[in-house]
Amino acid sequence: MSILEVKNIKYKYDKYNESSKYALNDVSFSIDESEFTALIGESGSGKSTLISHLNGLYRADSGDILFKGKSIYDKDFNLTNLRFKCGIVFQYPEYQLFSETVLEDVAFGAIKKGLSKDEAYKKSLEVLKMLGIDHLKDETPFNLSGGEKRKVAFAGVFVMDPDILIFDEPDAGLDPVSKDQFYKLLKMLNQKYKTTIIYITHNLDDVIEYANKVIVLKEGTVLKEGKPYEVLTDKEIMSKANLDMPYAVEIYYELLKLGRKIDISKLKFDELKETLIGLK
Amino acid sequence: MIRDITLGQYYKTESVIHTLDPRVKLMATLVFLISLFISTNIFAYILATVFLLAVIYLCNVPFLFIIRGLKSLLVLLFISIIFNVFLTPGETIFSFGPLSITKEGLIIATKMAIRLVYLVIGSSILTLTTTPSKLTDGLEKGLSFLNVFKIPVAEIALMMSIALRFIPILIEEVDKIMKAQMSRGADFEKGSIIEKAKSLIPLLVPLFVSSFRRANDLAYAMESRCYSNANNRTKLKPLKYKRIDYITYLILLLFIILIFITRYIKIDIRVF
Ligand SMILES: Nc1ncnc2c1ncn2[C@@H]1O[C@H](COP(=O)(O)OP(=O)(O)O)[C@@H](O)[C@H]1O
Ligand SMILES: [Mg+2]
Repeated sequence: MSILEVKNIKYKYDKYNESSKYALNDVSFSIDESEFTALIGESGSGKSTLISHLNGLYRADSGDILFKGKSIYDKDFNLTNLRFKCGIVFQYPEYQLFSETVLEDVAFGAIKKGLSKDEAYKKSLEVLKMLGIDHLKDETPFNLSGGEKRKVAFAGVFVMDPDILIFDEPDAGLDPVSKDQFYKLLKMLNQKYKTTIIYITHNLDDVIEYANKVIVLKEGTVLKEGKPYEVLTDKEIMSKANLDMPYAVEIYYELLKLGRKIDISKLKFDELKETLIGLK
Repeated sequence: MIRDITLGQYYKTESVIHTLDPRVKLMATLVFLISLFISTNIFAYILATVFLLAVIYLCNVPFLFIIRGLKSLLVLLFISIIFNVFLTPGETIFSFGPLSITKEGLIIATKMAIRLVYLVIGSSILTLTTTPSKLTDGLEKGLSFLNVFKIPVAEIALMMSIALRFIPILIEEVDKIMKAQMSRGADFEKGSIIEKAKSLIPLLVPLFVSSFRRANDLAYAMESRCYSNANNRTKLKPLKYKRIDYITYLILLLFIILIFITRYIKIDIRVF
């Protein structure tokens, strides 16, 4: 069942100018429960604008968004509630950290959601433990490293127990090891808790590895959506979207040139390795 | 919401007003503001309105975009109107209970409102049609005579341009911070005044932190490019008056003379 349905939404920033272009121009797609979706596209294609619509921060000029079958633009739809269920972690953690200690900051969302202070702190500590940063709980958030700040920002959203987790470029500026850890964590949340995940990224190699759905955006429209191996191997779409193919796809095409056709749906690192070792 | 503040924003388009020398525009703004405050009768206001409308028409910025900046002024406008209408002593024309509206109050309130609105629109047009760097150049050159009095005009101009440039950046940052905090359930509108003030903390702390960081980065960037003593710097594009600039100066002169003349037109307009 789809948890989120986006129907023909249009949005422009400069509403006072007739000729200004739409940041989102007739975008439609739907996300199923516990899907792991990557949103890709070149800079300025409207990815960040799109996710800001998903929890009602921006209101589309036209079109509709359904959360669990209900229009979020209905008069009696509870938007505050949606913000708890649809947690967005934005690109810059600096924009959300403000408390004296990490623990206090993480607890903010939980308290806003209605938990008592004790419950909120307890829950925050659990989340910090899960992310492996509980030793930072009494530090001030401003002196942390970039990666740590990101984790704290993520904890601050995750503590609200959202059904959908949305990330804007969560891997930007992370070192390779933290990045892998981060994606593994998402995978775990996705498989164990059935959390629906949508994330924006420029790193297509990881999309093949972790996502089970891809949406390609270009100038505010959806070029294609589908399984990673369907979308990322589509040469026409990829060049239209100004995106480079991931390594695995390049290897696939190189082998094809040599007359070796391998299973296109098996492009994850381990699968590809198996296949390549199997080749003579 | 917060994006409705247009003061300090530049609107990129092509128009006569955009191509004018910044010194001319600064002078025009100054003249216009002065004219607002020496206007005494209806003719002066009509003249100022015609002047403003002409500039709005010529500058090619969508009208709605220009007056968008007024939204944030509404509260101030409302308060000043209320105070003036009710608290000015004079000929009562309407009263209920202890409050009474006077003729003088109405006139003063109308004048105040027009002045305030025109003032904001006038200065918005200056920044909407002039890039910050041109604005500073204009200020620097226009005020360079103050160098004689050992006033560091270039430094002051630079400070002003940095401050101006920061306004849109700050607005954008406020917007992003609000988005991030609202995603965590923050609500900046609900509640009593004290609650509202408290709810600003999650907004203000990140804003200050990032502003300080930005200021620090900028200072380092300037240091590492050996910025010093602005007075001896030469310009890539030195300002030079064109024909249209001289014509505009003439129009300005005419405008201010006409405004002065209106002071001597004695007519007795009965408001009621
Ligand atoms: N706050 C804003 N005001 C005006 N235009 C914006 C704003 N944010 C983004 N845009 C414009 O909207 C388009 C989409 O931007 P964005 O959603 O940030 O793209 P992406 O996240 O894919 O890089 C771009 O053309 C950008 O210039
Ligand atoms: Mg973006």
